[in-house]
Amino acid sequence: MLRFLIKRLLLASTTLVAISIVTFLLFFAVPTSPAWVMCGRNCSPERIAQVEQSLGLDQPITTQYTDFVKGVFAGRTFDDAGTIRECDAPCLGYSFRSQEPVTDSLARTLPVTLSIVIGAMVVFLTVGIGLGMLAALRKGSVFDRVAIGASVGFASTQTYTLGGVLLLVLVYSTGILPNPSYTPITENPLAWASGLLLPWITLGLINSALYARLSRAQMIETLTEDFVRTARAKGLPARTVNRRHALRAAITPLVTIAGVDLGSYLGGVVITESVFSLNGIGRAAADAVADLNLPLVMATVLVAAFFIVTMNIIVDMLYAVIDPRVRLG
Amino acid sequence: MRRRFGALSAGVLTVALVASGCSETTNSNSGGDQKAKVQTGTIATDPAESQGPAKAVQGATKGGVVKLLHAAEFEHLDPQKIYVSDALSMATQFARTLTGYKEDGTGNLKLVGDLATNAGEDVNGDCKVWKYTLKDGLKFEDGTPITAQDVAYGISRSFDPDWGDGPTYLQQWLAGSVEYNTTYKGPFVSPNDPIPGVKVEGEKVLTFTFPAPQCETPYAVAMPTSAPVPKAKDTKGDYDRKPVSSGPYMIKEHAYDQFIEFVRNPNWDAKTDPIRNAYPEGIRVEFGIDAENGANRVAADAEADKTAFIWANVPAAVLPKTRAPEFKERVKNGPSQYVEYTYINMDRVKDLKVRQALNWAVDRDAILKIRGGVDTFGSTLLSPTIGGYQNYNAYDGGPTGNPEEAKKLLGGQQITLTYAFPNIPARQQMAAKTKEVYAKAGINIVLAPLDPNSYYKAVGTKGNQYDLIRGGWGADWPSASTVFPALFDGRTIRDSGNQNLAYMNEAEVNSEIDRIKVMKVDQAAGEWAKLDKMIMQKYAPVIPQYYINNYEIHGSKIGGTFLSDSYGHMTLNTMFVKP
Amino acid sequence: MTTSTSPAAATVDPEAYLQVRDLRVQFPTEDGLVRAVDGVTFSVRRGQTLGIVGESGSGKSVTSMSILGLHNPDRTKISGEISVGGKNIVGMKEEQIRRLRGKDMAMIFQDPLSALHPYYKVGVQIAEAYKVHHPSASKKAATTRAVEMLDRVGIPQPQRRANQYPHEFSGGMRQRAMIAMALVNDPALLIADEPTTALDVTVQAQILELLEDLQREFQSAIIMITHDLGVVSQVADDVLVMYGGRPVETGSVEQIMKRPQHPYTWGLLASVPSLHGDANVDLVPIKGNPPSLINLPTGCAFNPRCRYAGQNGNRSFSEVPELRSAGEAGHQVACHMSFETRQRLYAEDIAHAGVAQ
Repeated sequence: MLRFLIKRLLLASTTLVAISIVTFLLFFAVPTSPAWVMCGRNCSPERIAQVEQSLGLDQPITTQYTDFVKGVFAGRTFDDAGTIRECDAPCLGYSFRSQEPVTDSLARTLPVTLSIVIGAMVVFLTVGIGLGMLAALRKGSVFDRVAIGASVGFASTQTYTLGGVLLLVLVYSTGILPNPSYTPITENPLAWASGLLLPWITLGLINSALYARLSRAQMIETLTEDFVRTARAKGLPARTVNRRHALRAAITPLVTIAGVDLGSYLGGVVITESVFSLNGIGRAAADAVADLNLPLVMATVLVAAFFIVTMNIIVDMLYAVIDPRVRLG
Repeated sequence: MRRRFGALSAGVLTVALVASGCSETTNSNSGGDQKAKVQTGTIATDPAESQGPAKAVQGATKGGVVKLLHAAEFEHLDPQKIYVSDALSMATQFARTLTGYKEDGTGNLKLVGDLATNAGEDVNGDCKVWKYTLKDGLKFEDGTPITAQDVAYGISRSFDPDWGDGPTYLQQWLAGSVEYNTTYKGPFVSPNDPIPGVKVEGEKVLTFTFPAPQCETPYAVAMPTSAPVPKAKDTKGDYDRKPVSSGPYMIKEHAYDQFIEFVRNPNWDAKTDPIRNAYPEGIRVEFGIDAENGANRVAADAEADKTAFIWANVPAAVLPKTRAPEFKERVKNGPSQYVEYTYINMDRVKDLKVRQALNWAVDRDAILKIRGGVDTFGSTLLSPTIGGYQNYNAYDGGPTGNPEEAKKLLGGQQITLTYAFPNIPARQQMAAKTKEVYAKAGINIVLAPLDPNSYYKAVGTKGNQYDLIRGGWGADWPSASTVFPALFDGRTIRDSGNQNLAYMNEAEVNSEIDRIKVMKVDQAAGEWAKLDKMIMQKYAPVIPQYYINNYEIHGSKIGGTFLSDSYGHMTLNTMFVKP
Repeated sequence: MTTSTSPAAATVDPEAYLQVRDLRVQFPTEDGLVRAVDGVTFSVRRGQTLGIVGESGSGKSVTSMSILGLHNPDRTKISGEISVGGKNIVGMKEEQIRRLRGKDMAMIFQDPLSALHPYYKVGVQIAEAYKVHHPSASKKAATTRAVEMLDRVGIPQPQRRANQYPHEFSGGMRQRAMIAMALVNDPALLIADEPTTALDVTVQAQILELLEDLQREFQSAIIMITHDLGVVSQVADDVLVMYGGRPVETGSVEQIMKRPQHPYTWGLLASVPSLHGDANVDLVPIKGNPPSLINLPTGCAFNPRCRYAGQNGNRSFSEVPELRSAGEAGHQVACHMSFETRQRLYAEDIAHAGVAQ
């Protein structure tokens, strides 16, 4: 287990380093300098040079990258228009736009995304897997057909369509639900939940569809397994057979998918965040790209990659916990 | 030109693109209470007009919190850095300036003394020396008195070489040079040097001495460049997050990108303020709510949003429902300072007949329809909000243009022109329509979509290969002096970073600009209007497209507000919460 | 086991623990009606072993599943009678059958690796089987019982083994564990579905010995389902040969092994490797494939593969042969050929090849 962990962590760090280099290179492949964006319209070449210098963009790319890496491990300082700013390790850079260490931006936006994703995940794992399992147990029934039909419908809907419609119907027209908003859970758990209900429902329903179909297929397959027959032959009640024997086995592959999904969602759910005006990391990333705000682009890309890589490791370890046959090595 | 806050996602991007003024609408009959008002902006001469308190708004009550639903965090809050319309509108509530605009919503825009006792004393009558005396009883949010020194310190900050984001009029005039910070570089770099041309006498008196006549000084000091900053509390870079208030509201909490909570500033004295009523108890700004969500929420008028409003044009998707009669009171629709142009690159299109033909053939009706019909037909260089504005159409082909007249002028020549525009959906649609319109006059348009981030870099470079250039302009104050010198003075043309996108350099026009620039404001207004017409008739360097309108909406419990002619958004000065 | 000579009413030993009468199992599918079992009658006493032999698709596994009531009643048509200890399973409510399952009748499956749940410890799985029929037993008691059973089926260090997962067991050990699980409630009837197919030969013998041993101890009735007549000869008292869902020959093990009457039985016998004969001569697989249960060949289902088909005019192709007495008491066969013809053919063609004795 430990060996596995060390091996995977090494691999993960290599991946992150590679991603950071690629991001850097891609960013410098863009013909437009962020200085032009920042400087706006009324901009002399001198002023551009000035801005570039203050952003450190006049340095060669290798120096900029080494500075970045140094910042991550040792921290660094920035000259923000005459104000010297400390950026403590791990310093992922200094945001051009909000003029703060990007870790501050992340600290602000990540909890929002985290809240959206975790809530949505609870919805789509319970609703999706629940529906899928029930449909599998009642394969061919009316319930099965309705549930799977609905899931095809939801799966082919987009967040912005469903989200927009729900906003219009549940918020703007009827006021059944409050406007989506983010309140830290530590501040007011009730406001936290009610403000995020709509994004949870929207993201939850759309993903439920996928999970319903997956878990249905998985469950149907598992129900034909020999060990399920054995369980029934033992005289176990259907409920025990389905839950203890079939579900447990059927759910295992879903753990991988859910884990990887979680990893990629934590990097930001841009459309959901935009549709519901929530300032999560996804929006921050999209804005950063539009602003050519390299440090924030870099940080959001790395955070997204970090979550994906980490979730992959966690999923693999979880697999070993769920399935005793799996040996980590 | 100040930048217009638009419906785009984020700060810096907004800046570059908003200059391309993007607000989309779909319908052609406009609702709301739009009035065909003609600017009557003047500078107050009677000092009584500069005295507080502000005239009460009929039916207004004190209390409540108004809520601005805003797409993105303000680019800046540091008064010396602010230049985008939304932050300018917001700054009126926490950064008082030497002068300010007093409005009543009926087109009467009067520049009065805000911190100062009057709009400015032209000491020698030659517009070179201006004296401002501060009122009594002015205090910062912490209770310390506001002195002339604080105003001078604020102005000095705007000289900092790293801070180029704010307006530069005052600095350039004081330094007597476009490159205003070659010698004096602000209080951080040059702490011991005097600010050029700024003299402080005692606690109250501030004098500006300019090398050249600057008759529009009262307007220039209405910009937040002249907002006082207490040196002891100057946190430099961090000041941008939490400036010290001199106005009726101060920042209680600012969560970047999320919200700002403004509360009443207990040290603001209504008796000193002729402009602001400050009826609400507080102002809450929520960020990250794009124009569509914001407009939807305000239109829905749920209990929590009854006191909400937006500072962005209602987008196309929401526009139709806001045209219903019940929205009449809640929609504010009117002209802005912005005019949309197609510049004709005179370095490349040298034939006047071609430029005139382009003006004859333009189908403004078709373009307005693409824009959604919120804007107004316009054929002049100046916007109707500019003092002295006169309406005319030098090439009157009716609303849809006259391609036959254009063909006649061209005399059968086949012409192909390239048209440069920022590659964003709104502009793509307009470009396609432009191509279609000119095809009728036998003019072939080749479209040149450009990276929106570097658009102005590309078209602002002299010798570029574009014949027609999409652009727009908004005056910084209701005077043409912030339009013509910037856009049509050929002597300002540089290798890059040009604003004179027609690359027009005509001696006659240059000298007219020089002549009018030194005139007193009220005389100059008429002369600028004449120059407007002359430029279009004799040179046709641009094809004016339309006047960009504002179309904003507020919740049902908000009263007293109107579209400000100074900054284009619904004003907070007179806004109140209905009980 | 006894059978009557009358084809229409093959009678059943009324004393037998398991009595199956004219069992028919059909699955309606989109392609048509699958007649998986089409009229099977047999019985097994306690302490006796019946071998059901046939290729895959012959209906032997479906028969066993029916006895445990494991078919989904919504998708299966079952008729006939299955009497277990005097109670008819056919038509019984699921909950009632469930109470019998694992307690009065238990089953051992072919591949113990897939038949055991990969995620649960062996001991837990056995204890679960005990606990479900002994709800008042404590968890500890159930665990102790599981260890006891593991010990009983000859698993060394049962305490430690109970805490291991199935994948940590060898194939033979797994099957022992499976047997332990089946026997944990002392069932009167044990169905073993190809219990040794997945195992190597030496282990096979051990498992079969274990089963015999246990049968002596518990006096269970055992049904041994297999395609391997070698196994049958080793453990069975009686044999039922099935083909295409129907019984084709039945009798005592001695009758079937020594004096088989049906060409299909001959084929099965010929395909069994003999420990004594010459491997090169011995193995004669039956040509062709088992028939489709949706579209059985008309007449004798075995006719396409039978080298003697057509000996009695057209009967092989038009008339389904009934089980008839094959001469000796209890020996029945469903073949159109006359007793004499079969005797002659067996003596000429088959006997010299020698089968597993």
